[in-house]
Amino acid sequence: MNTRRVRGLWIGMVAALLLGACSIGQDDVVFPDQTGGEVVEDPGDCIVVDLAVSSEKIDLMRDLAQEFNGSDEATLGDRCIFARAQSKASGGAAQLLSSTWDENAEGPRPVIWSPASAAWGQIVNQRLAERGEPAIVGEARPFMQTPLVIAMPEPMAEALGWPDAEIGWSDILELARSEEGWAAYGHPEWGPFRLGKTHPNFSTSGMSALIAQNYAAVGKVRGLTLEDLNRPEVDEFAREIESAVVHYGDTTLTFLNNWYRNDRRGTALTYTSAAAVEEVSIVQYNRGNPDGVLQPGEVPEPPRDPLVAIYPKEGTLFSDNPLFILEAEWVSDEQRDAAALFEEFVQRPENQQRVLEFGFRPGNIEVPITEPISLDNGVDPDQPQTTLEVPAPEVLVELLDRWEIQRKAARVLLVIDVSGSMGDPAVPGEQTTKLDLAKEAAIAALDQFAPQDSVGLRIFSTEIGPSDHPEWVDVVPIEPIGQSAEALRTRIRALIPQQGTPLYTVAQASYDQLVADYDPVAINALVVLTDGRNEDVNNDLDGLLTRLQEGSEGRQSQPVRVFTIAYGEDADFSTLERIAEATNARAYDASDPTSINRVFTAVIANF
Amino acid sequence: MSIGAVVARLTAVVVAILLVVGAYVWRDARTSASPSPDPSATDVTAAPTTNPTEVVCAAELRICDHLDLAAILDGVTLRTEDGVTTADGLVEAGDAPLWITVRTLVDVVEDARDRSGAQPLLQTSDALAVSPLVLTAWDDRAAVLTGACDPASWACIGTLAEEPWEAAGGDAAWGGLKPAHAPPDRSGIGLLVLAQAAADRFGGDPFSARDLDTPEFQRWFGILEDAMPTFTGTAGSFLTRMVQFGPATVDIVGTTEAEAAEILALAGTRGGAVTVLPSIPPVLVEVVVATPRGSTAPTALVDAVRQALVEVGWRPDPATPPALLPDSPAIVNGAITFDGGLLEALRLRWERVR
Repeated sequence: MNTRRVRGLWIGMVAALLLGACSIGQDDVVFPDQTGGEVVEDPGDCIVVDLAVSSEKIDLMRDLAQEFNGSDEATLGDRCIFARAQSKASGGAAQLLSSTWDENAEGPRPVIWSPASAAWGQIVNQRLAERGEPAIVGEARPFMQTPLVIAMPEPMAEALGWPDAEIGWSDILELARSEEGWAAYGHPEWGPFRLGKTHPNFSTSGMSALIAQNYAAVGKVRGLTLEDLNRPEVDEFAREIESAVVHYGDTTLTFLNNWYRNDRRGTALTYTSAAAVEEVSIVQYNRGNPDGVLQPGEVPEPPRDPLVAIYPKEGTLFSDNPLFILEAEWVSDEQRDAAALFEEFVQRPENQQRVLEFGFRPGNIEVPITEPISLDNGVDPDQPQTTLEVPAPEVLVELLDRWEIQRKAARVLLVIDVSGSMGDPAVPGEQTTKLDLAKEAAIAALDQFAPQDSVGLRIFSTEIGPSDHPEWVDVVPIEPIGQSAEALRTRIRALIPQQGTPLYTVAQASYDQLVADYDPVAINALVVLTDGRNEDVNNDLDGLLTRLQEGSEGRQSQPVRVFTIAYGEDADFSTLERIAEATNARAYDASDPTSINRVFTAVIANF
Repeated sequence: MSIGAVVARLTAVVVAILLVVGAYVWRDARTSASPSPDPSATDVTAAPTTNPTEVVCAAELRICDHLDLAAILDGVTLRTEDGVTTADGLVEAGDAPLWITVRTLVDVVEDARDRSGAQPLLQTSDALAVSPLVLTAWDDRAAVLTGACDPASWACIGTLAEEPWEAAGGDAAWGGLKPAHAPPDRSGIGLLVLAQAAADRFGGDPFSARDLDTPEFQRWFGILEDAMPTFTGTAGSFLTRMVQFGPATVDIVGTTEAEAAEILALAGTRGGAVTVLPSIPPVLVEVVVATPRGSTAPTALVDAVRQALVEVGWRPDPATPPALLPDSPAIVNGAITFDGGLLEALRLRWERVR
C-alpha cells in the first residue's frame, strides 16, 4: 500500500448563516436554477416537456427551446408543446433520478434528461436495479459531443514534448510522483506539478477522467473489470494521481476561471499545471471566455498563455450529450411523443450548427466539423485516435465507490457563525431561523465525508471565547469522523445565536492557522459561509485580500484556498467573491437560503 | 440541411422514380427467367390482398420513418421494431402482421416453426429491393487492411484483431482493430453480416452448425467479436457512430451498400475519408413484404416501400447501383444464401461470446 495514500486534507470551515426572506408563491413555475438564476415560464395549456440538462449546454438548450416553442413544430395533434429547460449537473441529476426527486427543492421532474454522457444513464439504471426498480433510461442519439482531454498551458505542454511527443495518464503519474516537480523539465520556477480534477460523483469530466486513468493503469481500452480494480498496482496508480490534485470541485469552471484570472496577472503556470476538462472548455478559454458565458459589456480577451488539448495516448472518452426521453411513471405517452418532436428539432442541421458555435462537435453527421474545432484554437479535429469503452454499470458504480477511498482525505474544521442575526427567521413570518437551517445543512453535510476524513467544530461571534481569541470557541476538536460524528451532531443541534460577525478577523485567523499548519501533500482550504457582511472593528478588507493573494502566488507558495458561500439575500457576495478569487478558489451563491443543502454539497465536492 | 445534401436527396428521388419503373420491367423478366429461391415467395397478384390493421417495419431497413401509411392505407398503424425481435415473436405466433423485413428473417421464422411442428405462417412478395453487403473503413485503415489481407475480408479481420493495428502496418496511435456490425440479436442485416463473416472463415465453402463449434472457429470468432466496441445507451447504427465520433471509436463496419450510400452521402466531408470495400463471399440482402399465408400485401404499400428503399440507397435490381453510390465496388454476382436454422445457430453462438 502506498504510504502516501492517507494524507491529511486540511480544511477549515468558517460558516456564518443568514437566511434571507425568499418569497416563492407565483402563479407561474419558479424553480431554482443551478446557474444561479431563477426561471419563470408559463406553459399555458401546452403539453409541458421539462428538460434537465447539464450546465455546459443550458444556454444553448434554452435558446433552442424558445425557438421550438414559437415554431409550428411545437404541436402534437391539437395541442401545443412547451419545452423548458433547467440546469442540473449530470451526477446530481443521476442521484436524484435513482433516489427521490423532490420537485419543491429541485424543480420539475424531467421528461427529457440530458447529462453530459450516456454513461450516467447506465449508472441510474444500475442503481435502480440494485433497489429492485425498473430502468427508466433507454437509448438516445448524441446531441453533441466533446472528448475529455488534459488541458495544459502551452509552455508546460511544450516542456513535455508536445506536440510531437504522445502524452497521457502515465506521464501525469510520473509528474505526480516526482519530488523535483517541473525542475526535472528545466523549469523550477513552476514549482511542483499540480493537477485539477472534478468530483466524479458530480461531474462528467471527473467521471471520465476516473475511467481513463483506471484504463491507463491496466493497459486496456475496453472491458475494464471488477478484477482489474482489485489489482494493487491499479489502486496505487489511482492514489498517486489523486495525490497531485490541488482541489476537486463540482465543475471544471472553477479551474478555468482561476486559470484565466491568474493568466491576467501572469501567474497561470503556478496555479495548476493540468486539468481534466472537456475539449469545448479549451475552445472557450482560448477565446477569452473561460466559463462560456459573456456578461453584458464583457469583451473576451484571449489569454497570454493559451491552453492546449492533450488527447491522452492511452485513449479517452467522449461526452455525447444524449437527450434521454425517460421511461418513467411520471412521463405520459403524450409527453413522450412531444419530447420526440423536440429531440428531432434540435437534431436538425441548422440547430446543430449552433452547437459548433459553442465549441462542441455536432451530433448530426450532416454538419461538418469546422471552426472553432481547429489547431489554431488548441484542439485537433483529427483527434482522439483511440476511445475507451464505457465500463459495465456495476464497474462504473464500483469505480465511484473506490474513488471515495482513493481521493485525498479531508481535514475539516467546521466553523459556524452564531451571531445575533442568525436568530432571525429564515423566511418572514415563519419560526424557523437561519441558524436552524444552517444546523440542518451542516448535519446533513457530515454524511458526505468519508471514513478517512476528520472533522471538528468551531463557533464564532464577538466576545464569545477566551481572552487570547475572543472571537471563537473550539467545541469539538478535529477527529476522525467515525469518532466525532455523534458529538458533532449533538453540539451542532445545541447552537444558539449570540452577538456580532467578525468575518475578516475570523477569516484571517483561520487562514493564518492553516498556513502555519500547512500540509504540502494535502488540499489546504477554508470554506467561509456568511449571511451578511463584516461587523467588527477590523474592517481592513484590502489588507485581508493582499495577504491572501500574496500567500497564493509564486512557486514557493503554500496555497490555502478560501471557498466562500454568500448565504441569504443580505450576504455581501461581491466581497466574498473577492476573498475567494484572491486564493484561487470560488464563491457560491446561496442567496436563496432554502438552497443551502445543495450549495453545501457543491462546496464539499471541492474536497 | 446543407445544399449538397438537399441536391443529393432530390436527385435520389428522381432517380428512384425512374428506377422503380425499371424495376417492374426487371421483376417481370426475373420471374419468368428463374425460379424464386424461396418457396414462400409469390406473385403479389395471385392471392387475395390482406387488409392489415398493423404494419410492422424492420428498423434496420431505415425506411420506417419515411413511410406515410395514412396516405396509403386507412386505419393502419405502423410499428417499427428490430427485425429479429419481430421474428422471435412470430416463431410461436398464431397470426402474423404485415411485415416489411429482410427475406432472411422470414426464413428463420419458418425454419423454427417447422422444427417445432407449427404450421407455416408467412408468405412473401418478390424482393422489392436488394443491397449487397460491403465493408466500410477509414481510408488509412482500409489501405492497411487491403495491404495486409488482399482482399479485405472478415476472416482476415478476425485474425488481425488479435494484435494492434501497428502489427498489421498501421499507426501505433490507432490502438487495436475496432470492427463492428449490427447486433444479430436485433438486426437481420447484422445476422447476415455475421453469417458472411463465418462463411468467409470457412473459405466460402458450405458449413453447418456443427462447424461453428470447432475450436479453431470458436477462437477466431471470439477474437473478432471481442474486438467490437459497445455503445450502451447510445442510439444509432455503427456506421453513423463511426462518422460521428471518428476513427477512434470504430474502424471498420460491415453493413449494406445501401446504408453506406445513404450515410456517407449525408455525412459529406465528415464521411469523406471513408472507403467502401467489397466484402466476400458476396451476400445480397433482399427486402420483402411478408404477409399471412394465403394473402398478399396491398399494391400501394408495396410500391411505397419499394420507392422508399431506393431513395435510401437500396438497389431496385442487382445490376443497378444506388444513385447515392454509383461507383459502388460491391459484388452481387454469385451471392450465397443461408439456411434459417444455420442463422439461428450462429446467433446463439454470438450470444454466448458477447
